[in-house]
Amino acid sequence: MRYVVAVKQVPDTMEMSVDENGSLVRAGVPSVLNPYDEYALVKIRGIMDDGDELVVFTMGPPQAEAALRRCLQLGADRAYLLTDPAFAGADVWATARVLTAFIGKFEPGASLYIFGRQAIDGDTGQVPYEVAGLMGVRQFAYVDSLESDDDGILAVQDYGDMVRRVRVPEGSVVSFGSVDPNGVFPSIQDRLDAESKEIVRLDRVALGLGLYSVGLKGSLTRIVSTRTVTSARRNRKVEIRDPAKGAGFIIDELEALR
Amino acid sequence: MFYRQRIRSDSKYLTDESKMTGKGEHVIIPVDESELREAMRINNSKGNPVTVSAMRTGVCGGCVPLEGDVISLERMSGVIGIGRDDRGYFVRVLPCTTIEEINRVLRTGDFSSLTDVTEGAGAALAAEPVPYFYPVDPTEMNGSIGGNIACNASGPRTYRYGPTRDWVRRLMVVMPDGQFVDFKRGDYRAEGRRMSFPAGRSFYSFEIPSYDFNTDVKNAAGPMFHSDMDLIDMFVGSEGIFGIIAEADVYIAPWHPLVSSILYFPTDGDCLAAVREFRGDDLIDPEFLEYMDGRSLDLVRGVMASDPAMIRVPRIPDDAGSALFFDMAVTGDMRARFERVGEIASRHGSSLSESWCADDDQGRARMRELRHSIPRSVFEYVASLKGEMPGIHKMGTDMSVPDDAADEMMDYYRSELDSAGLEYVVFGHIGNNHPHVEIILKSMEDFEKAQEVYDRFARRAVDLGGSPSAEHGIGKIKTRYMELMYGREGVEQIRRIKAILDPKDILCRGNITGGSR
Repeated sequence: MRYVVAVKQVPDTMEMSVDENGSLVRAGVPSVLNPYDEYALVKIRGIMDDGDELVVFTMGPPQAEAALRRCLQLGADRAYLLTDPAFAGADVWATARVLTAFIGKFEPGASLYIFGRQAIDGDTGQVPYEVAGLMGVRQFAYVDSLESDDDGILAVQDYGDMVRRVRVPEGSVVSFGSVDPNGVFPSIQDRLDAESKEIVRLDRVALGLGLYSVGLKGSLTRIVSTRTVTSARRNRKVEIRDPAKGAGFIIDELEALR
Repeated sequence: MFYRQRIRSDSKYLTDESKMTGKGEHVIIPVDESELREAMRINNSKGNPVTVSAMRTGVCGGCVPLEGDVISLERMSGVIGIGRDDRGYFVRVLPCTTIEEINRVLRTGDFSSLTDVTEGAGAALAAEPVPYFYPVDPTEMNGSIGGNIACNASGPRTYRYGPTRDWVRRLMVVMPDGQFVDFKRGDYRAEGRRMSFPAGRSFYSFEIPSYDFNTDVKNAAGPMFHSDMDLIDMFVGSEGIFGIIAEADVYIAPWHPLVSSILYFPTDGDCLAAVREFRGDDLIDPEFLEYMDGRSLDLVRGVMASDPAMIRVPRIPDDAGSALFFDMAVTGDMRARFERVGEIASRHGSSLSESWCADDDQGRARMRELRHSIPRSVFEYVASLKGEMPGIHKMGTDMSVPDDAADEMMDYYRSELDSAGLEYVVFGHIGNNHPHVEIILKSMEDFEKAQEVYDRFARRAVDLGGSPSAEHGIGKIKTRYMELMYGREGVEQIRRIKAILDPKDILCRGNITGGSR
């Protein structure tokens, strides 16, 4: 089995603050591997058997290599960095196009294509499904865990008010819906093993994409203005027995509201 | 004029992290050195005792008043200047500046708002290729620099960088009568055992105690005295009994990238055996060695389920029976150094796979959080007992011994505590033979038993050539160990100096010498 995981490097929102004008202060904020992606990566590693392969890729600036290095430390076998100045300013559509082009050209035919639900900086949560749409494959959202049996892979999807188990066809897009608030550390051995693993850099030309299909030029979204809106109060009930997980859930929800 | 208000009986100014509670009349909160001097002048003229307080993170009751007023330096805070001398860069700080704040300011790299103590120092520091930091790490980064200097604090990084004393360049000390002395290391030295220095209109001259301060081990037991000593060393570690630190210059060091690791072992014995090999290994060259015994790990496992501060710390492996936390400077031969770590680990039931590793600041902070959660959990537990047992306070050891006595001391801790039927956790600075043994008290009967056991520990530590207070200071809780270290005559000699510098005995009564003359 070969699993391909899309990841993103994001600013650590736990370290971000707001200035007197209400703007996010990004200067000096460290970058981290998106926690949703890390959760997805760890979950996939947990179901892998000997001989299975785990590939990670990201689109981002050269410094996003640090996020890939962490993925390699956490058990990924190979990594790709899709980096090109022309990719800057991409909306979800242009991002999905680059990711889909990469998959089609460099990692076709994988068992599953894995995403985290959303990046904690953008929070659009649309890229996995646009990639699935562009690839023409089925997509499974809010996945909590995966199981494998003789007939293939089963996904447990948690929609908050409903949990269901479904069979996932090969080549589908799966997006994990949670984060692990406690996170994980690689071991020293993982760190040493990762040193010899390769990160392949690919640019726009390598992906066979034109200037007007990537980055800001390839984006359909045009931001005319932004404003703060107040929404009606919504109540939701979730039951989490582990206090640490409960607190983590609250933090995630609050971050999602930022 | 200065802020002065009556203290309520439940005031935060009446306790510190030891959870000892005291009594006080008023809290005085000066905003600068002139208000502090005025407050001292008035209190001295009335003979009214004052106890100095800042962030109250001490664990020996040094800032807990027994009577009179509290002077809280909480509004005298901030990094105010940068300078450079032959030894290197230093920062000028007000006494309640936290270690975290010093490092935060240094991390920004923008020193344009700070005063240049020496010409062009700020710009030169900003242009340095690597950031600088204050290297003494007392574990509690929210402690004040004034408090750190007053008790000569140290911590994990003392293994490499030494204690606070080594980093103090200059002090401005307000004397009990409101006069002050502003001096650098080297300005005033004792001639043999006679120390002389001016402070305002006064001139002090006295014989220093005849004991020699033990510098062979980590030691924060009272002020340092030795022939030809520097005046700065008398104030560092004096816990406010001679004067109040109103401003200080402390040296800073170039920061280098670090990788943090926690290695898990099946048993306490395996971990301690590995420590012995780590300590003598020049290739591994750790920045510090911090030990967490099996009981500590169990304590943390319980805390993790309920403490929001632990939300970002991964779960400790179920089969881990003890842990060794260490930092290494990142060098070109990391693989060889880690492989050496692996060789030692494999000889003691562990391996490189049974570890955590972090290069990034966030990951490293999470490991520190795990380590720091052990004493914090004990503090909170003791605080929860105060309602039922008001007289109780934390019972944790702070004793260091020479290398060749480390095993004997550890065995002694265990055998005494086990035979007394007391619960405990052992963790801390094993690299300096300075683990903390925190006794988990369940009742006042336990508290009394623990005090007896603690006294025996202190006596044994001194007999083995160590110190009963390696980094926390003496405060009010450990005063009886001063006599163990220096004899009755030594303590009397300190009292005689206090009688000269503070004739009305108003300053920090109860600290170090255990009370009034």
